[in-house]
Amino acid sequence: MLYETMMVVVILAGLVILGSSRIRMYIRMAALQGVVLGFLPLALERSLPAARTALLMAVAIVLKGVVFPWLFTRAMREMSVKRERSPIGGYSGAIIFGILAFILSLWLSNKWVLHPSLAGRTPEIAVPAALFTVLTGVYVIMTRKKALSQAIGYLVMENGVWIFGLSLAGEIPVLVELGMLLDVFVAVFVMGIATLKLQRGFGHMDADRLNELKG
Amino acid sequence: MKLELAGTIDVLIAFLLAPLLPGIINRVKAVCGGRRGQPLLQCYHDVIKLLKKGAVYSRTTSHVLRAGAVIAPAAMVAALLLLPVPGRRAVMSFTGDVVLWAYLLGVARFFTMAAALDTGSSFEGMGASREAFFSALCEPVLLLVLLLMGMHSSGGPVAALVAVALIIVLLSENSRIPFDDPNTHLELTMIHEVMVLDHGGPDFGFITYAAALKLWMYGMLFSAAAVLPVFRPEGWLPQTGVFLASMVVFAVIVGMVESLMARLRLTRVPQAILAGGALCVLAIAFALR
Amino acid sequence: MTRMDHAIMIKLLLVLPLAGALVCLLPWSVRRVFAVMLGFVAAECLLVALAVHEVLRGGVPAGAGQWLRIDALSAFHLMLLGFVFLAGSIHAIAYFKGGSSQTGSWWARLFSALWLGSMWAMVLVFVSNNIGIMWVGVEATTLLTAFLICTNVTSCSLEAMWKYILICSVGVAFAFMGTILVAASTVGVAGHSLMFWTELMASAGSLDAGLLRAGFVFLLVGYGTKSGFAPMHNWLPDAHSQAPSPVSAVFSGVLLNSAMYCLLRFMPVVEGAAGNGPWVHDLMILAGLISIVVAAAFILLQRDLKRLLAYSSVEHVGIMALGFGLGGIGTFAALFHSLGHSLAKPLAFISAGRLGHPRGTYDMQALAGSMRVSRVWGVGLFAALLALVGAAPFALFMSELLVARAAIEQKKWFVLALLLAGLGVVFAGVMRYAIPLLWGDRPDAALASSPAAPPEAGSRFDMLFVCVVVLLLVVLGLVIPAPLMRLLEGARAVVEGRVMAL
Repeated sequence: MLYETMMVVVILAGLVILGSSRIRMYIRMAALQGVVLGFLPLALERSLPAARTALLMAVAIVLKGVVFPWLFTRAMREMSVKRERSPIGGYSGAIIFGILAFILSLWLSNKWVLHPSLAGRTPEIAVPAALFTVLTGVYVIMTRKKALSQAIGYLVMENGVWIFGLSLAGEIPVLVELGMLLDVFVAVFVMGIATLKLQRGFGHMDADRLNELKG
Repeated sequence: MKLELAGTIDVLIAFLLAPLLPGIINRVKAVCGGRRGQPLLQCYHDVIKLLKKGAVYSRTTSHVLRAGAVIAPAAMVAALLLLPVPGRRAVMSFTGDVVLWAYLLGVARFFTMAAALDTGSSFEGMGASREAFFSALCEPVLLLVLLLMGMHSSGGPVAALVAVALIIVLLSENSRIPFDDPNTHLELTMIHEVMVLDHGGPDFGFITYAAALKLWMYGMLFSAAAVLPVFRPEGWLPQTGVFLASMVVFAVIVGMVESLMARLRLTRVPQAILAGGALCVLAIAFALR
Repeated sequence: MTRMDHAIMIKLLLVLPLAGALVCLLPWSVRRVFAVMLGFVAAECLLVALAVHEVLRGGVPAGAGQWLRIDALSAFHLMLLGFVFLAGSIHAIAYFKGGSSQTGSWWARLFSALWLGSMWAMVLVFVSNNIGIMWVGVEATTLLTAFLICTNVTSCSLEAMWKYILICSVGVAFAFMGTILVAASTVGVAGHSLMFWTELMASAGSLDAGLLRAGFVFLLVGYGTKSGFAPMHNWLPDAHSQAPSPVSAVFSGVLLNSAMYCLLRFMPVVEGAAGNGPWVHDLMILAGLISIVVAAAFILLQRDLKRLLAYSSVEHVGIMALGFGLGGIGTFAALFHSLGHSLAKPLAFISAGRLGHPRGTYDMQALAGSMRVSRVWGVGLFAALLALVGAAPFALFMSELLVARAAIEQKKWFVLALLLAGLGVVFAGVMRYAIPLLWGDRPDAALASSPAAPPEAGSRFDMLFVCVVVLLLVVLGLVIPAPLMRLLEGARAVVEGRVMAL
């Protein structure tokens, strides 16, 4: 039940991101996802070493709930952009995509028959929720025009990957998980700096106006 | 099909208490806005006052306008007979009654719209067109909600999703903020109010009363969606008590939503209703496991 | 060497570039910092040579428990890495000395640190035995190399960097999902997920074939994005053309290979599971053919020399994927091809950089008549281009011939036809540009726009470098030395899953 509720929150946050035009909302929803997912190890009925779980949770929650939102909010202020403008496909289109993506994720995950020992431990909703979140992130990256929105899209996608990793793979060595978190951190950091540079270099951060390089 | 005494009493309660709901909602809004607000029973006063008046009909209208004011309330009353208080049986119940219920509301809407068009006023025509547009979007979501309520009756995320989707639908169907503003008097932005501009006297009284009944019925649905998954009271008195309490909560929630939100831009409305649909799809996915 | 020595060597391989990166951040002067950087790269190359030597003697150096491991495939790729980084470092110094970019000392230190850092990340990819850490390495290469692209901050280089970060990060995230799926497929065997490649290989036969298949699709999309498979190649021409030439050389010569290397690690695992054999190969063939065709089409439209070279990289990655997909002699050919490509492409990029950078343009019309500007680099560029289009005496000709032979052996006539058509188009397209580029009349416009462009004669050292590389390319086209042959065969055995884990 706890797990399902978490997944519902994550999926709803994804839908809000799809349907919203305010970048502040994107940041909040991505952070909400991050924090909820930070607690995910608790909801999985698994006997993991407590210290390890606590470490992972702490790193994930601090990164995704505090550091990233702070970074993005700062970038948003510095660049004084508040809203996405006219994304490809519109917002209603994005929500319809969300519905279709969810159905697609359900269908796909039904095709992957998990091993019984894994299926017993992994809630059935895990894989579709993960795929849906990843698809949401990719869609945001592809259709939104502000560089900052695209960076947040990447973060949403990483949240999906996090569900995927935690729920599907059983146990991953902690080194790998920390490495992954570190990479995500650096990626977001680099994207943050890059958006700032874009802003200074071009005077705007509309990724769709980055079209000098062709062919 | 079997008539039941308890069901009949429920219908009488509805007749009696339905106009109270708008009163509570308005009071909540007033309190949130720091005002004293109208009396709780304002809606009763309005209806009674209107019924005492005589009717004036524009010479350009035909019998369609008059029919609208009669058929719409009649359809509402008929629909009320089909809807049970949570935990009990309705006056009439049979397989598929839910669909009939939805379509009775559709009949009411159709005649309201026809009456609005009959006046020949461009404002009323615009209101009717919006009503048609929004309700066409709402209908599938409403049916999905009803379907979900039928197939799933345990608590948890599914019930929450259904409840939220239902609130979205009922706000739109009952012309409340953020979809429509029942208090506005700017024709360009109104939907329901603009459609009934040309009704007066007893006709308008009936329409106001029918709107209250409609809100009451959606309240019953909400009560069923929100209360039943959590617990099922036994016995007539507890059931009635819980039901009435949940209706008050319902009115408070609607009032809070109305005071916290602003009206949506017209282009955002379909998106909000779509979001309700998305919630339903999500809920179905969870309910099917 | 003992096991102990192996462990120390392999750890040193990882520690050295990282330490170098930190040392480079110390307050050195510009000249010093490049010298320090070169020193670290050279030391790393010595270590790589030592590792290759050990592998050739039949050892499989391992360290840190199961985490680090160098087999023939790793050693082969480490060798490419050593060469490309050494060549790139030497020319980075010359490139930035003569150039117009900002050359503050902080900037030089940052560049050197990132340069060594990306070297570290790629070494990490090649030596890690854990598929998760391998992924971490690939992601780290993306992030560390991102800033190398916009060393010279212009709107174009920023745009290229943005596309590079975003597209590659998304791609690599897909690769991670693939990795997870592969790990999940092992739960039935071990009760928990295995992430060590050796363990995966040991139990490949009994893994869940369906999950592996799903995983491989994700991996192909993910690592394929990073290695420049069409249609996920969009970032590649932009990044290669905007980066400074030494960085482009590393991108083309190592970065693409490192992503391909990850796919090679997974191929035998997925193939080993029941019923997945032909399917994996078909996917690789498909990816290869699409890349070749797309690259051939786009090469015809280029005006910019470095973009031309970038599309040629897409084409060559396609040929490699095709070779691996065909299997058998094709696997050998693909490995050999990547060797040839990693020799020729850095030469091409470095020559292009030395020709174009002082004049501030890579437009091929503006660069016309380059042979008269600098004989050394003109010859280098022309030889590299000849090698890249697969002209006869060069190594790449041999490997392309072998790929074609693999297609013939398997009677895949359609594949063969597409391959030959693609190669033909590329040959004609590149040569059409190359001849005026080198021998054409210099346009007056270019002269007017760059009055300060001095004819760069090229030092004796430059000449030596060009001669050595060209000679290597020719010699390898004629005869493969026995130790290299053993290394290639060893790597082939790994890709084909014939060498069992220790």
